[in-house]
Amino acid sequence: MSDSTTVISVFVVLFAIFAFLGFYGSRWRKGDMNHLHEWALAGRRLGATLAFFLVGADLYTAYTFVAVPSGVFAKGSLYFFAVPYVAMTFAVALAFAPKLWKLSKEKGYITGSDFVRDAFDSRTLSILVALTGIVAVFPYIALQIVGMQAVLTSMLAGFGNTETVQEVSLVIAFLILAAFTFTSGLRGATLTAVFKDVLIWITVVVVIAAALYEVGGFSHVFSNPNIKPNYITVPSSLVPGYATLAFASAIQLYLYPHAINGILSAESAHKLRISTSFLSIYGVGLALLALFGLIVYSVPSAMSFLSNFPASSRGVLVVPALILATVPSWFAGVALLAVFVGGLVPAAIMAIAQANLLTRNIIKEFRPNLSASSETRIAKWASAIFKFIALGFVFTVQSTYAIQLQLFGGILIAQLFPSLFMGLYIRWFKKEALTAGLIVGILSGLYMVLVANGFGTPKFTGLNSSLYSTPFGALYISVLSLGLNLLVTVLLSAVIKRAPKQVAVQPAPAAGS
Amino acid sequence: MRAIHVVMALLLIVPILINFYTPLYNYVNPKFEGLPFFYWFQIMMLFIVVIPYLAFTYLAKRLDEEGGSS
Repeated sequence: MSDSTTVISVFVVLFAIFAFLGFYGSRWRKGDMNHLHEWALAGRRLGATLAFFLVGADLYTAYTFVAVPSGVFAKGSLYFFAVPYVAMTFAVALAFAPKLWKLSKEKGYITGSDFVRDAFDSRTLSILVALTGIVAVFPYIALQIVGMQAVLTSMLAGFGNTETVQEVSLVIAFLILAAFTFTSGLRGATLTAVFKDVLIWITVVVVIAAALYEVGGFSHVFSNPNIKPNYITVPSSLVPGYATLAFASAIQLYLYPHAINGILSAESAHKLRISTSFLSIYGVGLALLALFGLIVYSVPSAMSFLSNFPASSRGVLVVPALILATVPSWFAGVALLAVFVGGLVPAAIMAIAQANLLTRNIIKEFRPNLSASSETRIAKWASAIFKFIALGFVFTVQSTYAIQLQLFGGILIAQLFPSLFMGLYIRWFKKEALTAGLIVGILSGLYMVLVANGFGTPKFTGLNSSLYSTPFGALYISVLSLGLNLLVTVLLSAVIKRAPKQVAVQPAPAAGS
Repeated sequence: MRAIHVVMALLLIVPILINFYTPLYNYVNPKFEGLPFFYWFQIMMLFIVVIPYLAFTYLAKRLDEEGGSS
């Protein structure tokens, strides 16, 4: 194993450089940081390359580094669904994101809620969309905190008993996140995203090469007795779950407020399309990291490191353990920093997006005369406070199953699909119908999550599953609740359309645009 | 609905269907360097989908330049 003094020294020095970049970033191409669109959209001036990195940063998060490998390690190939998800999600993005970008440019929207409010002329719907966005991001930020904690835990493992080390790691991770978001804003986060992605690519390539060299190739990985059949292909009972997890995740990614921020900060619709077309290649790193969850079984020193931790938190340490076991100490410091900022940067970007929604689409609805500078001040403070709520979500899940945090947020965010994305093309939807559909989607989703995890029964241990048994097999709850949502939206839109009063007030709102 | 719209829709829908339909690639063999088909097929798709996505981007730009009809 690595020499921990070297690992920690390299980590700390690189982190100092990183923190400087984040701070310098807030002064880079400086706009007036007292304006919210400057703090939060980087002034809508990001070219194809930077927009690529910003959206890529949303993709390469602790989800990729920690949650997916952990799921694969603990449960097998089911959690490789993240790879087809990435392959599909950019098709969804190409269909909707450029359209949203154009409308936003034309009408000055800076959030998804802005669009919904204007297109469907509904304050209630717009506030609900904003609230859903804010709440759905909490578990996703929590996942980033789990990832940062995992890195610190693996570095500090020799310095005390595991429980204390994990608690201390959580506190440090949280404090760094809060301080970082408060000082940098989107410009800082984007600049650090480039730094982070360079480190990440180096790390992924070097560690997979070193690990495969150590174990002697994939044929040894797959002949290890611990690699059961459900680690090689998806068992037939889980195929419906696999397909729906991938498909729904693909729909969800671009509905998140931070992803919409990423879309809107592009410089043109064409540049946005180009960067989106290439983003699936980013997923190759995700796929390799997912394989770490299998490779680790063939690296005895990594396995003995993991055995110091209980099964409930072992999974998240797979990637750090493999790093420490296979590369020289100084490089382990570099790699662990990459994983650490891989959680930190996205968490900051997400918190900024949340704060944006709160001030612009909720507070301003009630206090329309808010000045630009107090708007930005509220946004910054809100993003700090929100992190405590995110922290609360950390405790709802055993960290090995941290991916459930993202899947839970996904069930909520998916419910925005009819109003935010379909609404770009189908103005035939009625605001009351969209509102009712959204509420039905969220309530049914929550209900199914509680049932699937056996809430109220002795077998309830937190969020462990996002699959719900149906006659078609166990499906990701997101597609079921989105189905109900769409059903309500379409039926009510059809019914309301027939009301004579509506027809008289709105002459021929043609479908499409 | 012009032909170009249909082609553009297919350029997005076909990659989604291929990736969505898990039974298409849920096999152990043929292996590639010891990696089961299930894994390498899906990794390969990450590269392949760039082609239809870029084609979509190219057609969308042409539509934009024609003006208005997007």
